[in-house]
Amino acid sequence: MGPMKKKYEAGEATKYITRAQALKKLQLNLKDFRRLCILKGVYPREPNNRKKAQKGKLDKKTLYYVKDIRFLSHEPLIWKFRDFKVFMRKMKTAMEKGDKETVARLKENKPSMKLDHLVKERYPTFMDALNDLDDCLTLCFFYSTLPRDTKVPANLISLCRRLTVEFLHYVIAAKALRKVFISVKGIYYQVEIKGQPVTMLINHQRGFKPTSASDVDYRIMTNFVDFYTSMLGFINFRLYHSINLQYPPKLPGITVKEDATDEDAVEEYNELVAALNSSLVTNVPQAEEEIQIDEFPSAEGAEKLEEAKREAEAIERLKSLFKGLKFFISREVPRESVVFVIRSCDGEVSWDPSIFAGATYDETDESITHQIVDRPSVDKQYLSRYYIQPQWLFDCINFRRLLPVEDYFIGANLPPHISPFVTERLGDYIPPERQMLLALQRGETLPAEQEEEEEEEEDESEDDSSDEEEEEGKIEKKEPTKSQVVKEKKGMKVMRGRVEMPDVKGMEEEDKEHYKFRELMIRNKDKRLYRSMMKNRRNREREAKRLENKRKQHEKEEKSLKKSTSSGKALTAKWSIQPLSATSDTQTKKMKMM
Amino acid sequence: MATSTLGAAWLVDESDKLNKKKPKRIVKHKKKAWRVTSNVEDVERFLESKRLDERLGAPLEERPSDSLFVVDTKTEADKTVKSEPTKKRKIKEIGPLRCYAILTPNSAVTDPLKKRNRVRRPEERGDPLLRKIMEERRANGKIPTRFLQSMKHHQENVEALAKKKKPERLRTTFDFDLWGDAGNSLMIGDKKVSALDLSDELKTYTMEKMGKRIYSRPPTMFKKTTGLKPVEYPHPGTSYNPTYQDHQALLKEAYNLETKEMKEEVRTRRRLGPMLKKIPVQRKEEDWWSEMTQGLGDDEEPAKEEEEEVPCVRPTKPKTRKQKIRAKALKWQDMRRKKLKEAKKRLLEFDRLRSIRREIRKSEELTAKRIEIRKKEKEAKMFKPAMLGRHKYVPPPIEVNLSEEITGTLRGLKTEGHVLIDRYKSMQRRNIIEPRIRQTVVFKYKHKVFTKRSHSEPKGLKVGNRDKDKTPVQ
Repeated sequence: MGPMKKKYEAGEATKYITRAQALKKLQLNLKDFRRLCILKGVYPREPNNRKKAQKGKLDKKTLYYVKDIRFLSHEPLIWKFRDFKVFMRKMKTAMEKGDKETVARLKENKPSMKLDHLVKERYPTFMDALNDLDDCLTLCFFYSTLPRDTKVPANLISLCRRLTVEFLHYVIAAKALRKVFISVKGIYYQVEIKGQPVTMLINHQRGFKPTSASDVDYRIMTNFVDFYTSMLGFINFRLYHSINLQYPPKLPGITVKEDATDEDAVEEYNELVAALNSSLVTNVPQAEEEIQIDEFPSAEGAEKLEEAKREAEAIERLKSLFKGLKFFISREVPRESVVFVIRSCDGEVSWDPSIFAGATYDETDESITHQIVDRPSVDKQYLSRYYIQPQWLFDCINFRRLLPVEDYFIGANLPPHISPFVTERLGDYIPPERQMLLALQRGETLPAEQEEEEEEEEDESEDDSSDEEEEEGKIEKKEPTKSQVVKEKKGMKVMRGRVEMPDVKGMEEEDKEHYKFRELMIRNKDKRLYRSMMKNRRNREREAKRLENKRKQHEKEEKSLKKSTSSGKALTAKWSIQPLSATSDTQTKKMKMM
Repeated sequence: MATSTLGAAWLVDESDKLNKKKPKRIVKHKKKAWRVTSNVEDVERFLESKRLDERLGAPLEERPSDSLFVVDTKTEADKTVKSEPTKKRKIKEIGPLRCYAILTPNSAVTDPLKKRNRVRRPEERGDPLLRKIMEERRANGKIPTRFLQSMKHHQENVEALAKKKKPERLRTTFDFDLWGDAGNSLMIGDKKVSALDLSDELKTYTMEKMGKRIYSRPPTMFKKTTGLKPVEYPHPGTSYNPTYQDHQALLKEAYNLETKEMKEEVRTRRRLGPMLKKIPVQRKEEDWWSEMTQGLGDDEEPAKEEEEEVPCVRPTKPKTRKQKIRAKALKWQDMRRKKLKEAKKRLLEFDRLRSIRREIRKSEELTAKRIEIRKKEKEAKMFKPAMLGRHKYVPPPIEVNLSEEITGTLRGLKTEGHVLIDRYKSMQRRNIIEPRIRQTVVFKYKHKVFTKRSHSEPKGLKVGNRDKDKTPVQ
């Protein structure tokens, strides 16, 4: 036996260091330590055994890995912090002495930080950086909307604004927008960059809502933003060059010198860039590439391949969704989000020049196809264009096709705005609106039969109501229109046809039997799990059915209410489709799962 | 001084009385007495005024009036109304400080020492003849080139300084690809070298020599602290125009949370109830008395108790030799028996080999199960906020529009929640920063209480009852 081992000299106890110890070791104050940790990406850790990690002490302390702190001690940034401390001390003395010359001289040589090496260190590859972009974008977007008189340094705010605008320009140029969702908190955008989905949350364009000091610590968040601005800048540079754009974004036709002394001119130019309304100057004319999915002759992956192909097609469609359409935005509509959405789907936009710089055409332009309005009525209406509510744009993107405009007319009661971020499990209740969305996303068109059925249903349901309503609706549909939506619809109707399947029922029966046999073949070991799975699924299905009934009831009530109050189209009835048949389709999926 | 002279006078008075008989006689023809007898005040006054004139210059009467007065012939330009001088400005306006005034020379007397060594002014230095020539040249428009050169350089410097960009807090221009060649290049001396071209040894050597050694990041730092997404997908019920079901589901969630909180509150109130009872002051005092006098009354009585004698325990009798041997033998026997039993048991276990195998299998299964459970627990832990400090993570309230708040249009949208709070909470949830309650330092100085002398009643002097006197007046 060797000498007796002392307590807390090996194992868990040597792995951790408390924050106070770390401060002492690094000779920093708490503020600087926090800042350094945030910039370097060092996080506090929870030990597996707190008592051991804290060497027998029982109160809860913030712990860090010893190795992390040792790593921090080599950071050259610490010296910058010390420089800055000295600088501040000198400034203070000079200021209090009223020594203006010294103050000016000191200010000219203010120590500045560069965080390039940190970005590179934390994200060794570009893809790593893209992985962490969500947080970065959301925070930068928020900071760009802050008023100047907050505690945050003003140049940081303007830097955030610049970088975020640049990022939006990239998304527009790359047509990378995939999903949009307007929630009460803000607008969620999902963007696809190099096959990687990036989700960001941008707050609504409302007044600044102050927070209390107990809610958020601005100083901490500013440290995060400091790092994120450097990161976003480099990411922007790389992204711009990946699609052949000049990096500090340049508008075609307008030239402003880099070192122009006229601040107004620079600001005006920045505003034009921020308008998002014109495409940027490219380095080299872009060569159009069409991505073709390689075909593999494997039998198993055929279905998946098919699905992937359909997805790719849908995305292609989404990229040029608003191509050829000309929009005009009224003043009450949130300009930036709407312009961003339209432009990233290849549409043309303009607005009243008095709201913001960069408007390209006037309201009186006859070639405008859609005017986006968010008020109950408009005095002067042009016959040549649709007056629609902004939700139409967002829904179109989520559905990945142009929706019928009728439901979104000015003053109309809008159909619900559905989240595109929901993924359902098998047997879950899917509301009819969502079903529609899913079907359209998959690239399916509404089958003609179903449409007919719907119409029949409508007829049935609206039999009681006055016939005039129906006529009105039809007239609306028959209106001479320029949009492609209706044309497409008509085209679909021509192609209507029915293929008689020879022996569908027989095959289904066979499938069922096979399925039962396979169920019997399950090992005893897995049987319980399988049963519980099935039970849960049944439960979910039952719940779904219940909700469905509830929905029907609710709609009926609403309809009766509407009848009593005013005439209007029952939107929900139109959307309702029978839930996906849970026989053949689901069964095949079950098989796969097994 | 005044007091002492007074005192002297008083003394003189006394002495006068005493020495009246003998007036002092002064000898007038001796020089010694002149100082006493003769009056030279006027001479001295004259000399004093002369010295003053020397120091301050000629007297005002003798000076020409041009040097004293100015004939104001120009109209004064309109003075801009000065704003209130700020604190900083005030310092400047005061001018040279009073305390230094005594140090400034204010004598008009010329230095009596003509050859006193002093620092020459720049224009006095050098050869006077050379200076004269230079001045002549300058007057002719000939300036030495080095002078011109330096002027030019100065101008250039000033311009460069003006052009120089102000130092920024952080990088604002991004003009190279961080993940490309430029990001990988090193600066060796003033040359940029692509890091890919260098061997690892050379790279580390140069970096170390330049004091820029790169310390590798611990691999644990690359691991994610959480399995949660940075921007979580929103609940479909938070849509500004949600479907009925989604909205109801979210409302129910919020409702459940609220009721849970309320229940908890009721519970704590019930539990704390007896502790938070109101007690009247009188009873409190009584309680205090009873508590403080506890055990004081009955302290005297048991003091008399006498110490009972503890019976002395006799030490145990030592074992005899015989007893010891016997005990040892017994012990050996016992051990042997136990060993035999063990061996027998082991032999018997050959018979139950199968059951042993079963046992082993069972225990192995159990460990495997435990491993799996622990793995699952660890995975589940990745989706929960950890305990990183003294405070626990508090989830933010659910953001939901009530049914009547939903207008269904973007214009009438009522926003809920705050993006920054959402981010802050998300970072806490993802174990990036520790939850904390912000501490604010409040300096509490001890109050020093004293009564003003004018306010307090004078002590000692008291004539009658003042209050009684005052009341009828009022």
